[in-house]
Amino acid sequence: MIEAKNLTKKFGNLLALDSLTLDIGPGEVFGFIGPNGAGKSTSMKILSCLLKADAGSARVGGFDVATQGDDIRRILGYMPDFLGVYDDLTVEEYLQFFASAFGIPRARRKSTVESVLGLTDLTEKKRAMVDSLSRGMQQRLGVARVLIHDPKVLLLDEPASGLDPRARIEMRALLTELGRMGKVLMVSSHILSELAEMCTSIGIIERGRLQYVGSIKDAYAKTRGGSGERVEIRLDPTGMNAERVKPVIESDHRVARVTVQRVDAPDVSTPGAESLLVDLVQGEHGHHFLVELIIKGGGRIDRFTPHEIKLEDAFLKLTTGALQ
Amino acid sequence: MSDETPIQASVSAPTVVAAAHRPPGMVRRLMRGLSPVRLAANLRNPILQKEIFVAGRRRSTYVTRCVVLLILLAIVCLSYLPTMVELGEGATGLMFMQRVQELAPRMTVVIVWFEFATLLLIGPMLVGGSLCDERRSGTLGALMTTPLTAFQIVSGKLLASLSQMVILVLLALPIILSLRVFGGVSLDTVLGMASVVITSAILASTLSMFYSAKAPRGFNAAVSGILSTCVVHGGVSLFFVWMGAKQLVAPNVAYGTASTLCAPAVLGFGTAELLGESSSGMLGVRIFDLCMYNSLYSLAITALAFVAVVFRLRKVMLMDAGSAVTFLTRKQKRRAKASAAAAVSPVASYTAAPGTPIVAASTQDSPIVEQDSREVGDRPVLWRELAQPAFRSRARFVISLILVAGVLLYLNSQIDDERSRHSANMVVVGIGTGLAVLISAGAAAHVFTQERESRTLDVLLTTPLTAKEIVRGKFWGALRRQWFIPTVLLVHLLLSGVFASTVPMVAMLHLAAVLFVFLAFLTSVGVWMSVISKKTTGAGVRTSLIALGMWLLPFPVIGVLSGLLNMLGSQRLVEEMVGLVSVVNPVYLAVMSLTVPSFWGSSTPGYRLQDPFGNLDFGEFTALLAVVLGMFMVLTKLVLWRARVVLGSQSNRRH
Repeated sequence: MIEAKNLTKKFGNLLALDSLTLDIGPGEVFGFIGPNGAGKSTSMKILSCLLKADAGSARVGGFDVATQGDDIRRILGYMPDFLGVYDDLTVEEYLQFFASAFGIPRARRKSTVESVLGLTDLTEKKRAMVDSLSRGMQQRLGVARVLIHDPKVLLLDEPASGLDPRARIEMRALLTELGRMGKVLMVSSHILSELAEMCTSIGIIERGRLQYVGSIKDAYAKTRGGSGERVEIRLDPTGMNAERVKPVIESDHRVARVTVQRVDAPDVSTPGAESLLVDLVQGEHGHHFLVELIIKGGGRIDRFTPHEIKLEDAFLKLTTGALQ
Repeated sequence: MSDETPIQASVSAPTVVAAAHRPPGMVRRLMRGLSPVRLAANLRNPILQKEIFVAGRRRSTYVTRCVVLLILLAIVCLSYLPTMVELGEGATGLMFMQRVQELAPRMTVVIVWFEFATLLLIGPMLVGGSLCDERRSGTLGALMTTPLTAFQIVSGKLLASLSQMVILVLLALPIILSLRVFGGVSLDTVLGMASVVITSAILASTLSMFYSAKAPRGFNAAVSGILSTCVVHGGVSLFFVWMGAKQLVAPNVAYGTASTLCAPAVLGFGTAELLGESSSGMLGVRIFDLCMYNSLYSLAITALAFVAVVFRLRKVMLMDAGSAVTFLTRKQKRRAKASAAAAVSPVASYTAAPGTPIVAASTQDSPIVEQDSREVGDRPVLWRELAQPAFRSRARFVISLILVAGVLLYLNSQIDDERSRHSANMVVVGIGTGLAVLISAGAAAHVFTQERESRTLDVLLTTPLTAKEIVRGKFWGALRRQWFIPTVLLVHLLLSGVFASTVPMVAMLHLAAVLFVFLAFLTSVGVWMSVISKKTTGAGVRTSLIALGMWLLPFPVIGVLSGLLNMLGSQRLVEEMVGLVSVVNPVYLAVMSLTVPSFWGSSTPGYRLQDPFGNLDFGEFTALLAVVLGMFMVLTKLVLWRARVVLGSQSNRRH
């Protein structure tokens, strides 16, 4: 649904986008991650025909952004990072305004507005002046606006920015539901944990360059340097020591690497405790077989901790932290 | 003994502390604020420094200075060129010096008037957006969190604009000095006139800042400041003239006061003095003294306006601090209170059960203002623009209507013969048209810039609306909001002219056509400028400059050129050029529309226009009007087309 090839954009001497190449398929919820000034908003503006790229091409829903802007606008909903609202309209008028702008017939307009108001739970506020709404409500109104013409593709630039935790949860629920409805979502956000929960794929951009694009699982794998999941097993000193157990574990084909390390954590009551760091091969997610192997090797398990890699880890690993 | 000391201290201390912490009175605070020491300390004012840094980085600052300098040089060259041509190669140095002495007063006068007009326009434009822009962008709130006072903010911004104006004045200094040295121009008169120019500009700037504290846009504040300066100088003088005419005050005192208070009148006396015409004897006062009186008057009003700005800004800051919702009308605030009182906590649940919304409303503290929704039309941009009122509140509309009706009724009540009524109508139409043009220059300047500033333009441009639909909607909306002055003029003429049989109906139609076409043209220029400008003030200034360039600037240019043209024996050419630029001037055409001498039974055969048109009968005048107005309608179409193309190319859409 969204294809971008070598998109490049310069603002004066600043290279905002450097050969961005993307391919987002139908039904995908794509998380767009990057530090401030990395080029996320610029990419979204080019895809929504608000900016012209200096080089490269892009297509949304099969339409070229450079030549078929009018067709793209009919299938696309774009929500900018800062939502400006018309302060002289009520919520209902605001949505009617955009319904009319998208050419929804007058007879259908009211019911469409009612349905998006219901979807975003703004029905009770339909007579409220837009500028008197709270930030969270205005963001929801922004989502209602992008849904008014039932677009196939949604570009949401920081939809949860500036929202309190409750409003953020509400927004996430709303976006997850939109993903379930089969819409293609491209969402940029700084709140990585939320993206991890709702996105099927992510793109990490830094200084205008796409550092990574693909599934979240692959991003995790890349973060681990090609190996699979990692499990930390702390051994009870009353059993066999770690060096004895290590070869038994290493002999299994599902294990990539085993490292022994002394545990010096202050909570360890028994001195001389050791732990094993076991890296599984890529694609291997089950780790219960390790328990059997340790028992087979004569070890006694004190603590068994599968290491979870978070999107934050992937982000830190894949970006250098340089800001523009 | 040692036990007694603490007791004494404990008794006397509260009294001393109370005296030390007693807040000073308003007058004392005011005097302290205006003291030279405090004003000098303001040079370290961070607001002043910030404004000067920002102005230093702005390209427009240097463009303005270059343009002013170029115009000054053009004035000198155009004034000096005829002399060079006339004297030829055989002229001696002495002959040149003699001719410079003859030219010097005239050049000084042109430069002083040019500086007066320039500073009176540029000063208010510089400060017009200073407070309202900060308020809209939310930076005023950040300033409120600092220890800076309203006094420091206002004085910092005003001093920054003053420094810009001083630089513009200094640009003319070398020319004036050389005229003084080589031309022998009276130093007293030049200094006096310069003082009048600068103090008038400071007054206009301070008044603009007063409006800026509450105005929605900088351009509005600037125009209000300029108009208020006109009232302070012209209106008050007219009031004294009226008192003199009614014998409420001794006529010589009334006329003398009127002349002293009106800056253009004082400059007029100065002009007469420089050109060697007797003027000071008229009032029995030296020109320099007259200039000083006028400057003191301007400074006194400036001081009052300054205090008013400080209080107004303080009030606005407190209001903003007390309310998260800004720019609410009183009606909206009343509704907000009522809604807040009646608000029921919404149920908070975000479990998406069948038939229930995905999310539930969060509780919130800010009051929600409710109004009845209207049905949006099929042309949404046009619908929204037409729905916007011409006046910010009903009270403003009523006050404006009462004021205008009062003035017109009074004017009509004072007229007893038809010829005077006709002249009064022409004056009313002339002033009204000028005012309508001035307002029109800013009426459409915000239509796109405001959307850009409030970040709604991106959202609008993601809709499939064509550039034509958007531009057309904005244009008609802005044009409709200018209905007040044309309607007042036409209703006034209908009541005082048509019904009294002093103005024919056809003159009304001519006037209506003139007003509609010229306002439409200026509105289209405003829309175009709004598309290409970042800020409303910039768009308004550009539109105003185009209007001034088309309809006012040609006259002084011809005046400066007239020396050269007269010398070449082209006196007729000068008159014809004046006639040509007049016939495309809205004020001239509006006034001429009323001059239907045949209707008056006058001996003159028809409309008396300037050469090359001469006297025209009704048909010829109508044809001329049709050609001129047709030309401006085509221009309007072209300008709107250009705006559409630019908007279309900005957002990759059909235009």
